Amino acid sequence: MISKTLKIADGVNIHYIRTEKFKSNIISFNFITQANNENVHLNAMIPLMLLRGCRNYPTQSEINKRLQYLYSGVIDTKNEKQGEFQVFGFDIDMLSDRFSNDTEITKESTELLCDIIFDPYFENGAFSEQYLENEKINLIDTIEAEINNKTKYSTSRCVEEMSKGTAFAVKRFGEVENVKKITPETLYEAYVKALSTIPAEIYVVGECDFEMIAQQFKERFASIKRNVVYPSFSQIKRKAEEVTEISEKQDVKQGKLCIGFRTGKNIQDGDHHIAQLFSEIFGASPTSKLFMNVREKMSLCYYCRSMISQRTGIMLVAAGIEFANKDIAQKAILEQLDAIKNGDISSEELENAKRSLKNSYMHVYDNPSAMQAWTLYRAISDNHDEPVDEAKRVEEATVEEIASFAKNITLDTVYFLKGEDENG
Amino acid sequence: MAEIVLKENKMLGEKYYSFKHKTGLDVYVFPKKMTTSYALFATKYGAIDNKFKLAGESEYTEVPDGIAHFLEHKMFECEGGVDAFELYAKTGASANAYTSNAMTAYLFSSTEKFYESLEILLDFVTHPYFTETTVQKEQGIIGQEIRMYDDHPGARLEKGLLQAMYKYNKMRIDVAGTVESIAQIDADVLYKCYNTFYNLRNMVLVVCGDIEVVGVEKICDKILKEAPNQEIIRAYDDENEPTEVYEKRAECELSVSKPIFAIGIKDMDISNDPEQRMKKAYAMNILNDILFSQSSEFYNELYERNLISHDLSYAFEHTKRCSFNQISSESQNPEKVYEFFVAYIKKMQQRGIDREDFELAKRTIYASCIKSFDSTEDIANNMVYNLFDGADILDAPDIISSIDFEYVSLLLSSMFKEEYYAMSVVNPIGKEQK
Repeated sequence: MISKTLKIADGVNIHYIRTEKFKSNIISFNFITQANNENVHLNAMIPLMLLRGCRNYPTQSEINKRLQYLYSGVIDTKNEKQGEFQVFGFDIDMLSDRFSNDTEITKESTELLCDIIFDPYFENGAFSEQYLENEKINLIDTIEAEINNKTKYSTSRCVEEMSKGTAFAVKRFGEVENVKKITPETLYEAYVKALSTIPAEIYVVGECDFEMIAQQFKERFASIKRNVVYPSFSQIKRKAEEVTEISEKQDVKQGKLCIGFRTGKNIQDGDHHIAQLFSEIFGASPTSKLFMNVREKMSLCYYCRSMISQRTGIMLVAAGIEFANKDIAQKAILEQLDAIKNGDISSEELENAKRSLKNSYMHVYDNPSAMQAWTLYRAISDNHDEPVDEAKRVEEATVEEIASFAKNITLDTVYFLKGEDENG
Repeated sequence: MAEIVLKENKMLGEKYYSFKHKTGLDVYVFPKKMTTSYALFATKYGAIDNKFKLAGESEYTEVPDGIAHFLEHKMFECEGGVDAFELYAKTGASANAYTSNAMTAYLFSSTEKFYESLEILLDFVTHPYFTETTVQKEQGIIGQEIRMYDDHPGARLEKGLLQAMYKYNKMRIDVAGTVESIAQIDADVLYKCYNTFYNLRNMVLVVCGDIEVVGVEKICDKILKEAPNQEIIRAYDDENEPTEVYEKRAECELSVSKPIFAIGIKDMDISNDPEQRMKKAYAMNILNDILFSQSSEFYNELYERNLISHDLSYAFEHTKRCSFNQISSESQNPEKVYEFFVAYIKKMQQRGIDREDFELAKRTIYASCIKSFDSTEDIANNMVYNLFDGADILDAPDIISSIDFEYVSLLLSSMFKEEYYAMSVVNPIGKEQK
């Protein structure tokens, strides 16, 4: 997908994904660093504070008026966990220049984004104390609000339990206690550290003056002395030792079952398409074994699905069920897994999974953000395959490869969220 | 060959073809050079259509709540126990369906074998198959879907708001129904609803992608049968719906970290002319942007006082059957936000809006309208939503351009009155009432 890459500073690359399909262009600016509890909350705070104001537009309101003027340019802050890595920065979405006859949308939007990243609003040489107090409350609210979505909450609790003490378990916004301790000074240090030491990957997707954009970022980085620290890969746990059972209670109407497995492999071990094919057959599609049996035949749930994380190699199966059905659902899920381990995959199931997976790979080409995300998250794992390459590789896969992938899957953790009045 | 009509918007660089198929179905083909093609086959039948008859019948039929959604689930099961998903699995298409208050839509997206998938879509939606056993099985699955939404803060918030604003309007009804209402559903009543609403003259087919009209017509010829020309009469029983809100507050408790609120502004002023409705909808989007966007005084003052979270959302829904504006976010103190909202609107009504703010907001709405033509999925869904309301998405950019400062100013004075306001709040469990 990438038609051009330029190195514009030490550890900073800008990539052009050229496509004429869309009416807008996007720029995605990503710092990529090791996730750890000392820095994760500070890094999460950086984009939030930068978007509060820059020297040229010192308030949120002024930045947003500028964005409105630039035809509803949208800047989103970004802070994600990809396994052991933290990715933070900004995405900007800009209407294509051809729809305006009075504004150079791409050029002026890039300038604004660069102002926000490189030229913040400071009071007495540090971040505004008032803005920071505000953002701390908001970030704490965001962390505490993770409890609101019970499906997500139960899956992230399961992953947390499975990864205790490793970078994989670090929460993407960090811990409330640590957020409380952020000061204008510690945040400033973290900001300077990000600009001078953290590698950055910038993506431009669309049809626009890439050289102009690259030049703007290059000029901004020129005045910064870079001393880059590259993040390193963590070892994944390849096999479960014993099964951990966890149950928690909340005032909920539906039980949330989340079963965590170790697949023994992550994307760097290669053959990620086999993991994806396995997942299609097992529980990621409406013709999967979990959907057809646990939902359709047994009527136990509305959703029961599997997902595999490409960096951690952890597979989760999540289902919303009646509290009383926990054991029967768990048993049914494990039985379907055993069936695949024993090679119980019909050629029809395999062909269906191949078609469905190819379809979802090819979808990537129709969405600028999906193209950017695909490229970045593969690159983080040193994998540069395009969706079309993966689609080709999928064609070759065999039942034996999938069964042998399945055989290495081990049950690690069973997490269950149930109602306050339930026993046990 | 049916007569094909071309509609084009040169500024956007977009066009579509439409024709009335000989069976009575309206078909729309929106060519778009994308990898993914998208098809949507929809019936104008949703949760609000629970009392109806055909022209000539003397009695209305009343059916249990949640039946349109139940029917959507059941349509996927074909005769002989085959599931429509299994058929799609042969083409690799990714399929789904959804039911809203006013429509039910069946869809797929595909990157190859489009016409084969289209054949599956048209075939299974026109061939119902229900038995008592399969109906019972579905009651378990949908029961869990309802439970899932019972625990979902956003769904509870929305439901509370609609039930506070409306006394009679059927927007009060939950799309999925309740565990009790779906227990009353049987195969007979499903067939009754199916035969009434899944008439091709009450449906549309919209496809968007690298597709040709001839190919689509060929599949229609092959699969579809002429539909009887019957008129559906729906009773909405909302003639006495008052202009003011039914109740000022709706509150419930859920296990959430802090209160979530939605302020609703009821609007009973709905034009019969679809173009006027589209104009009002976009004008309200402009006004909402002026009043509540991140550059507004409203947002910034509440944000700096930590009375709302970073995400404040606002949306204006405006169709023939219902119209309301809503503003929602999280807050430690929703009542304070409400007071601030009332005072802010009064102040703005006295002061009037700023011309520069109007121009900026208009640019925003114009740009987001253009961007909505970047995905085959968005195009098809927007098209169906608008078609069922009598409107045309390719008219949108010109309608936005025609909106002037005076019209938006007028909306500020007419749309916002205290008797139109209601608020729905989802509180954390055990929160002390202030």
